[in-house]
Amino acid sequence: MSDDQFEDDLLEERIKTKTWDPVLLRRMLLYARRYVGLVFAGSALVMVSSFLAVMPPLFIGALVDIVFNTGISRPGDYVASFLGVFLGGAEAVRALSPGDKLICFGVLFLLLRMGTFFIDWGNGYLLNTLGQKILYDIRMELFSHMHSLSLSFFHRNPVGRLVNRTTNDVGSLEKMFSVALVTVLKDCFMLTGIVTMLFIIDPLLAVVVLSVIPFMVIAALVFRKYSRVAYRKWYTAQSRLNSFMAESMSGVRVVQLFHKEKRNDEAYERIGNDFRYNFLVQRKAWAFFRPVATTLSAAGIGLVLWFVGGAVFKGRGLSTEAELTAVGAISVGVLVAYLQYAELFFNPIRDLTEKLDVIVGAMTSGERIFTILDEKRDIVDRENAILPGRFEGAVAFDDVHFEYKPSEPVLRGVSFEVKPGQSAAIVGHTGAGKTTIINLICRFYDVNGGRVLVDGKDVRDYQMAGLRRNIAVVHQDVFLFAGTIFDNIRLGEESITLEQVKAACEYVGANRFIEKLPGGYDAKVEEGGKTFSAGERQLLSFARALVFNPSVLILDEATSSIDTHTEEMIQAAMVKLTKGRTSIIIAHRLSTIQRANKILVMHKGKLAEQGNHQQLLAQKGIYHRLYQLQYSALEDTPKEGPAVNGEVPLGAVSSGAMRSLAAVTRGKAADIAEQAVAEKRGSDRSPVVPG
Amino acid sequence: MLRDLFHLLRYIKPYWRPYLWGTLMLLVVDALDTFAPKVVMWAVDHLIYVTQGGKPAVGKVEDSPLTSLMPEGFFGAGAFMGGMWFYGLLFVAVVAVNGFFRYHMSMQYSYGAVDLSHELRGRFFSHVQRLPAKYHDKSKIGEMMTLATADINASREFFWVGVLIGIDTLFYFIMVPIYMGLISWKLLLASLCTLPLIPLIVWLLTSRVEKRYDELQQQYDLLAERARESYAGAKVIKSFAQEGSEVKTFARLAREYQKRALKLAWLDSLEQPLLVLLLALADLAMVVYGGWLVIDGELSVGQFSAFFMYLIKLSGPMVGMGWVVTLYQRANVSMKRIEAVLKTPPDIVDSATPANVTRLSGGVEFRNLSFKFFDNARPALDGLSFSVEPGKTLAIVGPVGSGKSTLLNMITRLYDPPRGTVFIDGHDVKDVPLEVLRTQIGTVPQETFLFSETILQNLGLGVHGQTPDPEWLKQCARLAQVEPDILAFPKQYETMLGEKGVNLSGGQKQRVAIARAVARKPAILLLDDCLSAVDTQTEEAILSGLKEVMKERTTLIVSHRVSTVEHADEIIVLNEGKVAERGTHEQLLKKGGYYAELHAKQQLEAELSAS
Repeated sequence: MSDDQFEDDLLEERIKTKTWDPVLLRRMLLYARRYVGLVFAGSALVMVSSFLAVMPPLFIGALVDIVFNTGISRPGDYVASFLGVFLGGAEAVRALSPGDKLICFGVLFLLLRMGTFFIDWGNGYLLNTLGQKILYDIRMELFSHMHSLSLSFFHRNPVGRLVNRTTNDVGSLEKMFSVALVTVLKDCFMLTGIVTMLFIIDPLLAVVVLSVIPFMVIAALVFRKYSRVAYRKWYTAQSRLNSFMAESMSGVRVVQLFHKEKRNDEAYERIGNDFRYNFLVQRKAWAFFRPVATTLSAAGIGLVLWFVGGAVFKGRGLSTEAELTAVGAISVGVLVAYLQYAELFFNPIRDLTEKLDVIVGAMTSGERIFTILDEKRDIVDRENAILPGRFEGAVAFDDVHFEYKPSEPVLRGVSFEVKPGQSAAIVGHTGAGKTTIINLICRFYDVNGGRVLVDGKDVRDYQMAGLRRNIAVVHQDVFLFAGTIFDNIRLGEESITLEQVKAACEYVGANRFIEKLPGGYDAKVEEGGKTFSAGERQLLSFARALVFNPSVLILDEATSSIDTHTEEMIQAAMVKLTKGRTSIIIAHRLSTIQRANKILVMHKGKLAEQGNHQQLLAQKGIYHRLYQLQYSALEDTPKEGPAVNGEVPLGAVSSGAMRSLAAVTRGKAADIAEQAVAEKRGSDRSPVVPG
Repeated sequence: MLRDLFHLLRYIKPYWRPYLWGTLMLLVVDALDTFAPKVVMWAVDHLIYVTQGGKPAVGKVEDSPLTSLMPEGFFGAGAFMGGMWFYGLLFVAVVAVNGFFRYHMSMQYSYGAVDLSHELRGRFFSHVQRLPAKYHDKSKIGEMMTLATADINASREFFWVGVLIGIDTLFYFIMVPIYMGLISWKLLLASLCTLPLIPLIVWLLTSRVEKRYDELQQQYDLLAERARESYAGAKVIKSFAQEGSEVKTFARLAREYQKRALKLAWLDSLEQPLLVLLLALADLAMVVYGGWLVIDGELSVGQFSAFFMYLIKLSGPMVGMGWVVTLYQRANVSMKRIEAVLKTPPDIVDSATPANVTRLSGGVEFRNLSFKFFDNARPALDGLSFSVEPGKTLAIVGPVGSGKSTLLNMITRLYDPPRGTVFIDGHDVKDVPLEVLRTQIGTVPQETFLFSETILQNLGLGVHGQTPDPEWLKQCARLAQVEPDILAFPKQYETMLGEKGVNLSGGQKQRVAIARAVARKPAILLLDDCLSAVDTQTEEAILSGLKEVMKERTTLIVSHRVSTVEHADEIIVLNEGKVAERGTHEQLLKKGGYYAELHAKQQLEAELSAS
């Protein structure tokens, strides 16, 4: 159990105490609609199977009466006429010698049992098939639905919870569809079948046996009432105990720092004892109910014995078979059959109560799943959205307003324009709205006001897939999937060949470390890419962006600590990457900012200033102040010299000013990058390299 | 296998009393249970004997032995309903008495098993919270909780239902054949001949089912892993419009899962019908051979039908046995996991030769302190040497991962420093009794953790020995500038925190945690970046309040904020576990290093947010 799941269970214990919900059940069952044939065949087989399962007592009763000649009875009559079909009439059957009769019964019995065996086996498989098909449908619906939801859904829900929905919760529906429903169906058929049999054999005796049922129902109701209370108390005690332990364990450092261990031991003794006590109370209910139930069912059998005695001895002194039949006495065969039915009757009832619990459990899961399936897709393609071809790459914001949460505006009327092929650097302090701008260009969120335009059209007028296919985003935290390097670069896009991937990697310089890996491009990437350094992950994500050959590139420059050598490689790669396409960069390095055609200075959700480096410095506004403060901080550093050409992080306040000191000495990354491009230009024929 | 079983059963030893009582009662229960069919047998025989006037057409003639035991005329044609009511009543009485014993038997086993699991859980819990932080870094709370809940429950199921059914089955397999043999040993042999096949087939089938189950489980793990990655990487997938291919990949895995599930279902759905069939074959042998014995006059009809009932009674334990094995296997795995944790030594314990300290005065000294989290990890602390006089304030700044928190954790031995590197009042910290150490140092950890108790209880957490004085606790809350917030709640200091109560904001939590640490009047106060969610003004108020209280005590304060540390007696800049700069605020500003830059940056930020 993961942490998430545990938290999940604690959170949702309220749902767990809820029980029967017909609407929910109906909705779950509707998934079977697509497999009407299977449902039909399954139910038919269940019926046959229950019919066969009800037969053996009747059969034994008939055997006693016919073979041992203990009387004339309905079971005997039925089986005799059935056998008579093959052996020339019921009379002929009765006339057989006891030995022959026995053989007939043996064969019949064997056939009955073999039939049951094959039908049950086949039926089990059939219903499992049905269950698995439904499961597949639900799981896929859930998975694709989640992926059709906007990014905010994934921000709201922890990954652990979503995984639980797709695995555990769908899994508990599996039990319901493949086991519980069938058992419930079968038990119902069995009960009906047994009652019918009892009445067919002897209506009067049936009434006698079934007269204990009302008492059983009362007992069951009393038990249910009592046990529910007990169960609820136990459940509360259990969640209290679990919360207590979970809290102590997650706060174990505080527990130790404040020397709380002994006090916790005492608390466990108290809370655990409460749990123990309630568990036993709940057990008592069960331990009491079972003997009551068996005694009641024994009372049924006792009544049969008594009543049969009464019927047999109704006419006192009558002792011959003929006399007994004349007064409607009951044969020994009927007695034997009845005794067995009485035993058989209570199995399905016990079974039903157990299986109902499984269904209730499935309901909890069903509810959780439907909560996700009911989640509205808030960002969808418009009805007549167009599929864009390749973009020119013009990006513009037109008085854009945006808020993640109501009345907490993040962007307040932002307007700017980036021409095709140009580059823009966004700078500003944390929370100024930089990341929001890139989220809006990709339409991960919809604007609350104004328009985001790509090639002069509102992004909402394009089909989303086409829009995003044209825009590549390099995130600050690079996410790598478990799989090969090759898979990680082309993602799921099967039209991208290994050659293209290799070319892209060479272009950004990732080939140098990839080729050193065992297996090269087929080398396994561990989940999260833990085996790669931050710089290597960056380069991989550059290759990923490049291979998709986007017309707009969005780059969130990493602030994480990278060694000098890799830093240079990344700078060089970035220059190549942005060449020939529109690029919008959340910039932290001064060199990146200076390279941009346009600098957008964000401040508290507004575009405070825009222009190039020189213009903005001349404006003497926020950018100038940013620059000056940064510069003056370094002025006191005698050994470093002026930082104008250096790599000074501007945006990232909290992370590593230490590193920036070292970066100043590195200096000329940009020049190195230009040089590398020049070297490459002659030889590179890769299709993914921009013109 | 047997050794494991005996190992598990040894856990029962301290609880032998309820188990013994339970077992004795179980013996009675089973004896009565196997006796009940005999009553029916007598009834049927009596019925036939009486109705057919002692000359039944088929079968052995045998009246019930009770007829001769009872007074003349009690049974038979002359009696009320032929005396059959007596059998009916007897049968019900046997079952009812049986029920009485069954109830107590069941409860005795419950007592035993519940006590056992209660104490086991307690031992586990108590052990886990004494394990060093190093251990908790590696383990997840979820896993620990699974051990404390699911695994303890699995063992409880075994010690309760498993043991009960195991003994029950044993008794049945001894008693039922005896009863059957007493009626007819020939028929016993005939009907039991297929029964030994049952465990064999169950075993054969189970091993195959398990293999397929494992295969299915592997696929399930793959599926879960893929789902996890896919959700975690949703941003990338969306950015590159790869939802379609993601769904395709997942569908492929789900299909394979379905395929394997059906492969398993093929065998799995065979198991139950096959068991039923095997039992039915025993029935068949009994029908044909038993019928023949009746015709032959060796067996009465009543005996014949009693035999049937006995066979049905045997079928339950037969299936139950499989269940017991499953319960046992689960418990075995669970107990091994639990024992593995219990065997982990709580490394951080009192020294064998503790120093004679009861009261700390607050001097802290580090002598060439180096520390690694793992053997081949890079050192988190690297050759640190400096000291803090009692009553002084030392501030520590430095980038993320420079070892600031680790340094503080050395003082409280949350992580154990090497011997001879950390000294408190001149004693090696490892020789200071843990109780002294952890009752006289107040820590405000980086991640604030409050318990789901009332605010007042949380404030009093660190106060040991006597019941904390509420007035003092409130005074501490005032000092930490959190009292106005607390008084705003309807229940004020009695407000419950946590899941079932009020959720405090990050800043409120930090302030409560500060008050909690101060409330214990510590000799040393450790503040680990604990003002990050508090605004600058409040911070100033808290710091000046602290200054008053901490006059004669030592304070070590870690922060990212210059404003928090600037008034400290000394400031140390850590980088990669080493001292990079040290001095007072003014000295460090002049030096123009990391600290100076940090200062400049924060000025800039302040200016930006003010504009």
